[in-house]
Amino acid sequence: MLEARNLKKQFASGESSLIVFEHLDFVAAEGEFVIITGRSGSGKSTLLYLLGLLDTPNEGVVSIDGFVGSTLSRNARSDLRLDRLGYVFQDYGLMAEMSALDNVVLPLIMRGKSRAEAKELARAALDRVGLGDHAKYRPSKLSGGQQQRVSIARAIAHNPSYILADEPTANLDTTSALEILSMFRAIHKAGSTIIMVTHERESLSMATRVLELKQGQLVDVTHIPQSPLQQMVGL
Amino acid sequence: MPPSSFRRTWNTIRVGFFLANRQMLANKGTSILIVVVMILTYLNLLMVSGLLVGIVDGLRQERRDHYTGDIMIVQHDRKNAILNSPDTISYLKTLPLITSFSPRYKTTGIIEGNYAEKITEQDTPDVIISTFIGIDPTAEDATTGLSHLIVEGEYLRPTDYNQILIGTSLLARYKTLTALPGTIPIPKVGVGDKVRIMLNGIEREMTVKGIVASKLEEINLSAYMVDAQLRAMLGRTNRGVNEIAVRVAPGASAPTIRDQLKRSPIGNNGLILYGRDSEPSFFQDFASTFGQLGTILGSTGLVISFIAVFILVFINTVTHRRSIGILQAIGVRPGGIEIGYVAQSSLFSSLGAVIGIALNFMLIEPYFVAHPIDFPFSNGILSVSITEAWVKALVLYIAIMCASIVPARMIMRQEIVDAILGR
Repeated sequence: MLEARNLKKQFASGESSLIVFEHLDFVAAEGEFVIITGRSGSGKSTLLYLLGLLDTPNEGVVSIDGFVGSTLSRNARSDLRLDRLGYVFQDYGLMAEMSALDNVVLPLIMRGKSRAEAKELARAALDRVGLGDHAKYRPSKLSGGQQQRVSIARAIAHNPSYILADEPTANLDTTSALEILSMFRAIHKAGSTIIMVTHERESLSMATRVLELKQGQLVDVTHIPQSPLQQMVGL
Repeated sequence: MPPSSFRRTWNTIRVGFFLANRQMLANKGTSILIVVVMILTYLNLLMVSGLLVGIVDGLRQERRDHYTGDIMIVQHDRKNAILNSPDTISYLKTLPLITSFSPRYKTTGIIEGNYAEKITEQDTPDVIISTFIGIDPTAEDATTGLSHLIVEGEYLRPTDYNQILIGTSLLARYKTLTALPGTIPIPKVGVGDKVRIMLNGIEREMTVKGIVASKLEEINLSAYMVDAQLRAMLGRTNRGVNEIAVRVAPGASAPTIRDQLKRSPIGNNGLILYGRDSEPSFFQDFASTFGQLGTILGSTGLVISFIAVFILVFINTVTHRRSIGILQAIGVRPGGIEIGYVAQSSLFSSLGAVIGIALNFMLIEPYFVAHPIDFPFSNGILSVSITEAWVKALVLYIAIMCASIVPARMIMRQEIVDAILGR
């Protein structure tokens, strides 16, 4: 279970400060597909960074499967991210100097796989996202949609418990965005827990739970009607 | 089951090397450029002190080549000659590893020039104090190649009588610097001119047969004549010589032969010295002064390269801030990323040092031996010992390691999200 209790995040700039949210609670159970939505600047990504132990809350705790982030050393937090989380970034977050295959291989080596084993698993992950034949290409040679698929392959290659996705379709055209969304749906169906931040309505119906971050609080808005585009593509 | 702590550390190291490998391969041009900078930095470190020490070593080599030979036998203090000189010479002839030797008579005296022009008592005579060396021209040439130092006129023949070779520092034509009375070079004297020699209370008129020029002032301040004549002027009926320069066979160890000679029957006849033992103390003073200067200048070069690498790695890490954040986000430990940078710097500095050592010993040093720099008082060579080269390689390595670890650590201290978002 990925859980946050009594979270507070505040940004200070000089003498002024902005409280993004406080007393915020969040729980994602195993197998859930949680979408966090909200207006731009509402703090969705900030919350995701806190849930992923990439940032430190001013107050409150985040725990992943019982491990409380704030009580862990830097290395232990890295290990926890490696073992249990997979990240998909809005702008893909790929290493420009590495091929698609090497980008996926990297966390697998960190997990202790041999070079050959890591390559095999990475190829399998790239095959899952339909990029098996693009393994040797560097990110600069791939389209936005393809880069995001590499990013997804990297996130799923080591079978993490939770996949955190930050606006994964925001930089993509409609066709690519729908491909990426259907990929997430398939990953979820395969058993992964997904927490996705998005402001795009097309993805909402895939979620088991939809939370809207509004005025610093999470509101459950799971039951909303599908958009015409969603109905058209069957998402 | 999660990996053990040791396994995690090992995986971190593996990832560090994986990152280093990929970054270097992706930026081949930059990698090559950095290695070139490392080579130049290392050569700067070696050559600055190497050339300065080489000035003295060049002079030492000149002294060994043209004056002392590999081993020098000199008279004991308070003795006027090597004891049992004929026996000593006979013994040296029996040793197969000694290829040649040159017994010398040596004394001080005065040379006077232009005395025919000094007709009144008020005329100041053109005199200079000199060291007179009596040599067997054939043995001397075989041992020290003295004939190669003749810049004017001719070398001595064994049968020459009243013929003299004069060092350039005794003649105003070559040495224009003023000096103390008695050491002012004689004007207007050259090859074929007559000079008056005064030594051991004897005066003799001799003809200048040749002029000797060397980087070594000991030679330039000397006058050479055939041994028989100087022996007669000194009245050495026992044929006691003052010094013997000895040349050993190529590849033979001079210190070993010196030690053998010390233990031999002639061991107590004189002081048996190996090259550097016989040199004046100022040689060592010069060597240590230049060595210290070289270390100071070399250290400055090292500090500059430290700063250069620091800036290079710092810029590299700053421009890769986001990537560093992403790497941490996907579970790479900060240590793995640091190892990535340190491994690159380690490889660059190691390559720079190894290529620098190869260049130095295979190309640069042989070049300077073949083409020494013509300094006024020495034929400057590049003098670097292999131990010194490795020590400096280690110094460069450590400096570059520190220069790369510090900026990598600085970036790694940031919150991951700040690195990702460039805050």
